[in-house]
Amino acid sequence: MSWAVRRRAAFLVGSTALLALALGGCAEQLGLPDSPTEQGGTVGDVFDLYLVAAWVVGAIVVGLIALVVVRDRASRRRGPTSQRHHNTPLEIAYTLIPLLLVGALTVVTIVTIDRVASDEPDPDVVVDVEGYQWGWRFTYVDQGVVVDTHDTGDPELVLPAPARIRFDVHSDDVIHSFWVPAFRFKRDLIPGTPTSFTVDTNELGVFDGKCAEYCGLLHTQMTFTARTVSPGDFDAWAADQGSEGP
Amino acid sequence: MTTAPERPIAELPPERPEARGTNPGIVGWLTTTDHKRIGILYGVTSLTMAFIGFLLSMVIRAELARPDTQIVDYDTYNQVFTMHGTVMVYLFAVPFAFAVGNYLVPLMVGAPDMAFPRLNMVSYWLYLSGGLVVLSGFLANTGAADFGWFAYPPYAGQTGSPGIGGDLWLVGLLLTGASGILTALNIATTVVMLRAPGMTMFRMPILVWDLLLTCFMVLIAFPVLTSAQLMLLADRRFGAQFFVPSGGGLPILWQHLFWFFGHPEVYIVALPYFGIVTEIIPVFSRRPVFGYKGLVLATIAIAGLSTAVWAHHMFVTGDVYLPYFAVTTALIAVPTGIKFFDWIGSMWGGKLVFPPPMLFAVGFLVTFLLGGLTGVILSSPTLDFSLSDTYFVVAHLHYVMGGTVVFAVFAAIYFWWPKVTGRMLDQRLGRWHFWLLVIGFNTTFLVMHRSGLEGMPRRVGDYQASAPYAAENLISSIGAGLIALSMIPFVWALLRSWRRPDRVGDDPWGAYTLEWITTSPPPEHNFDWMPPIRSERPAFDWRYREEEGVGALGPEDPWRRRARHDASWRPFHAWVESDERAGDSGPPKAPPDEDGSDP
Amino acid sequence: MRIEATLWGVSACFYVVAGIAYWVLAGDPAGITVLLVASLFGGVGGSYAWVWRRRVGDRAQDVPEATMLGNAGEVGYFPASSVWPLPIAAGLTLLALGPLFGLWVAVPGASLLALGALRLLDESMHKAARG
Repeated sequence: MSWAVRRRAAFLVGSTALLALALGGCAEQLGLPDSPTEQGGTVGDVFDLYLVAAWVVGAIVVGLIALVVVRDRASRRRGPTSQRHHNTPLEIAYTLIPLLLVGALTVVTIVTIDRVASDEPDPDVVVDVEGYQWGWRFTYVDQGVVVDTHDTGDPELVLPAPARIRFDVHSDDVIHSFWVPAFRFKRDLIPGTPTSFTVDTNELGVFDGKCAEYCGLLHTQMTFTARTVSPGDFDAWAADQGSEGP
Repeated sequence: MTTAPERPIAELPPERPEARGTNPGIVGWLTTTDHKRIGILYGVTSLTMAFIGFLLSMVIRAELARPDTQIVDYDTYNQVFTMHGTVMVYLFAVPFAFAVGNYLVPLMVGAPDMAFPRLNMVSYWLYLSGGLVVLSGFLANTGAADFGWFAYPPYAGQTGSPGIGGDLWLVGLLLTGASGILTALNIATTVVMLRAPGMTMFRMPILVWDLLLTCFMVLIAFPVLTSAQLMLLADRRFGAQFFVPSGGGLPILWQHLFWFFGHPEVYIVALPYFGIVTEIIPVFSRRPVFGYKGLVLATIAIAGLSTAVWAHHMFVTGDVYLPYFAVTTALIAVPTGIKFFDWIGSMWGGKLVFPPPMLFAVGFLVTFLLGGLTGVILSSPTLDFSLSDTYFVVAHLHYVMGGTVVFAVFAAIYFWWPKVTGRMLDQRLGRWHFWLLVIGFNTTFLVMHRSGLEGMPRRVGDYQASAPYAAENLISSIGAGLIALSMIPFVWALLRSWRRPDRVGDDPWGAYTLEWITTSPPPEHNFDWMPPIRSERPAFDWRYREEEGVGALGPEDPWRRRARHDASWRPFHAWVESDERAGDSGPPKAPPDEDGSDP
Repeated sequence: MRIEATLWGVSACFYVVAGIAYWVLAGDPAGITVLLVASLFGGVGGSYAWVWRRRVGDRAQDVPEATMLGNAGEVGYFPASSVWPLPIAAGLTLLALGPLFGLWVAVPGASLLALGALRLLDESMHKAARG
């Protein structure tokens, strides 16, 4: 086998290895934290798909670059160079194939957008989330419980699981962003533009929460914790909070 | 044609413009209207700004290297990251592109200068003064602007950040924005009106096309930024309520206006550098650029689409129509992909050599690829909800902007340094520079993808020791140190070029475009003479004008007449070391053919 | 000018289409406005180029077989050097700093700008008169 063929084979093998790695690497293994919500699960699946596509395309393109850099080096090339200015069928091919690939991915995205940024009816719990410089006020509308950074320091957002929770988010001072990385979702709190979204929890656990939109001096410290508990425990907790008084 | 004189009499030079005489010394530089000098001024100023932005990034990485360090307090840190982004995007990336454009566009299209030379100088002064005004915020009591480079109100408004630093930021950027608009007008007019005879639109170098389309984007996007900035300034200073909810305004309006500018801005930052790379790759592959028309159409598509995608920066607001922007953003990947395959095609079947410009060009390809792929991931709102405002975006933006700007800036410097100064930069130092930069850059930014996935938000000055991304931050900071190290061979090469110059003639690389016809450095009016322009490679055509079947000086389509070419790569330094290199010895002689046979 | 006119014309059409599509599908007032107004850029440039081509026809730079003789004659006004860009830029800078520091900065800025701009025009007018 000539060197050129050997190199080519090596790159193909390398690319396949990368591909295998990509296929074997699920969203969880590559860093997205485990998700206790259904929406988060959907995000994980879409992420896996995009990641595989990215790895495949990346491996192909890097492989091509590596191939041409090695094969067409001046030191090992003899004879005239190609003077081809264009190759219309090839150009059409590498216009249409990426278009189809990107189109397919976008279709998947559009189908899943409403599933992930959901606004489902009949939530079990409604939490009003207010962000302010530099803390959170979670108001459980039906339970009449208020958890505030001012009062408790590092506030804990207790949520039932499995359950459907609607968050009504707003801010009155500057832009903040309500983000629980494990939920794989965030929503900005923009003064003048209140929004809401629903989340369907399905697992128990404790998760970090952060502010994800720069809001000034103590943006870094505007954190909270989200804790999902069984519905029974949640009711007990809510009753407990209520009895402690405002 | 063997008895043809060195400078063909039949080809009269264009009638000389009014004899120019620049004033000597500093006054000469202060009153210049010569696009080449203005290009150098832009280049030096923007590289100084890059150095300032780089120092700011060192502060960021020092602060983030370990949890619970407090090298600077939170307030200073917020100013540092704001100004890092501001300086790098507004005061380095775009102006350096204009440096390249100012210097090269008239040379590449065969014009004696830009269309409006004095306006050109006004642009430069406005850039300089605007940049100084922005930076002067650091001298204020309340410090420089600290609201992030996109300046979202209400935090950027009167109640959020009342200090004068923010106002200086706005005023400074109004000035640089005006500068950019004027330069864009100038470049566009030059390209449309001042091309040399025979230099049709589809024979212009791709760099000129990319700059022209960049100018179109500037003219569409910058006025929107200017308007928004005036509105914000009015909010801050004159009691306006554009972005104040209690007065009936909407903060989200700023986001729409800013990002309508902001997204084309990042393509304004990218396109000229794509053009630079497109000029370099074919030269060092000894073959023509592949897919010229495809590249032009793809760039037009990118320029157009870039203004229709702005709200992908606002997916997490819950207040934009997601499918429209998901589709347009994903679509941009297609023309970018076309460009990629055309670049690879421009190397395919060639004879590649790797002096520093080519190293940096290939480095750009790989780096920008990674940035483009993560861009496709971010184009999906489904995924963007978890990734927006995290270090995943920081990684993405540095791969696309850093990969494009940083690598292409150095490629441009190494490639055109001989033309601008008549000297060659040391090749070995260039190689050290390249490899240290590649290692440093990837060490810094590759792990940031992981940090973002693990939940690190942007613009934080600290994190818990128990955070999963603590290790990644340390690695990033080490990488930043390596990037700093990579600058040493570069500065050394610059100093060496000044102290012990390695002089070269008009065309040490054997390149293709019109600027290589003239002397290094070019005379005041750019061209003493010009060859006929019959293809996108006029210097190449002229060099091989006596070769059978190569380079056409007649009315026929030269592409059809050119069967094969340039069988041997003659190492450029062989020509440099010859007796001819000192001074202007006219057009280089064609190299002897090694292979007499046809393919 | 044909290609330039086409380029601008296509740009104008693109923005009209994108703007209308956005209006129909999504429609936030800011987005609709910026997209539709952006079409004016292509509209102005394109109509200029089109009319120019109708009146003047092809220039030497549009003709593939043109020789350098095609560009004989005066190409444009390229002054050797000029002091006026500096006061223009300085004046504009001071004017822009006016909202921050007050009229005592803005007014000198405006005067400097006016002086510089008028002198600049003067410079080129005189050259043109001299031919």
